[in-house]
Amino acid sequence: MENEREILIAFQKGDKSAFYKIYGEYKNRVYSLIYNIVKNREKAEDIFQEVFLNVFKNKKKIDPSRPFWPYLRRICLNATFSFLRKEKASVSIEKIAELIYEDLILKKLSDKELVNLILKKLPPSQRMVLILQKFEGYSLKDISSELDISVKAVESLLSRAGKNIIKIYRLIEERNNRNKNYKAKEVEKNEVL
Amino acid sequence: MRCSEAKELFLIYISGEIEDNLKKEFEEHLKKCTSCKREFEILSSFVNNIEEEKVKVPPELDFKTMELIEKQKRDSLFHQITKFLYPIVFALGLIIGVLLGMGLNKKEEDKTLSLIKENTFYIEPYIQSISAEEVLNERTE
Ligand SMILES: [Zn+2]
Repeated sequence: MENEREILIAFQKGDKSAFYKIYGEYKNRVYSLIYNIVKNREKAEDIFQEVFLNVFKNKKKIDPSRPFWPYLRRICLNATFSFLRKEKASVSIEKIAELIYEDLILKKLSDKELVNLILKKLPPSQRMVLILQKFEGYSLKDISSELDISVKAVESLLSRAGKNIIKIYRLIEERNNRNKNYKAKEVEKNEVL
Repeated sequence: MRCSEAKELFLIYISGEIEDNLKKEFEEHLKKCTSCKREFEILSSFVNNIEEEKVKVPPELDFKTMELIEKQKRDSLFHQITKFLYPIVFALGLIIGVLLGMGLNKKEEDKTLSLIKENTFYIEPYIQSISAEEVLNERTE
């Protein structure tokens, strides 16, 4: 954004159009970051509103001499993470794998679509770490300081994400094999008859 | 390194942030263990294939957010006004309180007078006046 500093100062003084400019400039980036972490439209919308309300309420905390995005991103991540902390995982990995398998068969997913689907079904805080590494270029240390958790905790999220992903692939493969065997037996039966 | 330890490190290795001494052990393990190697490859390709879903703010969300912020503005304006009005309301309350107290006083005085007239002995008038401190205490409670 051009003249970001001036616009931020105007916003702090209560200039409505300055706020609209900031909102217009960053809204899609904010929404996309939140959505890609929570992977749910309704939840993303709630967190999104909370983020801009926070920006508005705490406008005096903004430092106009510094780039705005890192400040805004921090608000996003904090809001998202505290939202996710309140949520408890309710579905087992086995059930998730079963659902993914059904989609895989019905919709004939490509590799990339499968990855996206698995990512979507991972526990959100595990997905969050992967997303931040991949799209925001965060190091483990960055993540730890942004989310206010230890590096060990970030590593543990990554370890668990890895194990879950492997498990889902393994369960899908097993399911696939069972299906093939079943079909083979059906063919045998028909041949005998 | 055991398989269970190696599995813990898959995504940390992929992120390029594994400690040097662990890195060597990890790579040694993958050379020897085909099942870990296979799982590691699945995860590498998984991470490579992660793509950001392109999404945009739906128009009704713009609307909802602006509405929320307008509401916040109104609320904070209301808050400021009440903050400003509070001393005035308080002073008015105090004045009314004092006036009422005086009114009561007057009635008491009248009663006393009639009592004196009727009974011809002196009765100390009982006057209940509300002190400013009492009013304050009540307000802050
Ligand atoms: Zn192994």
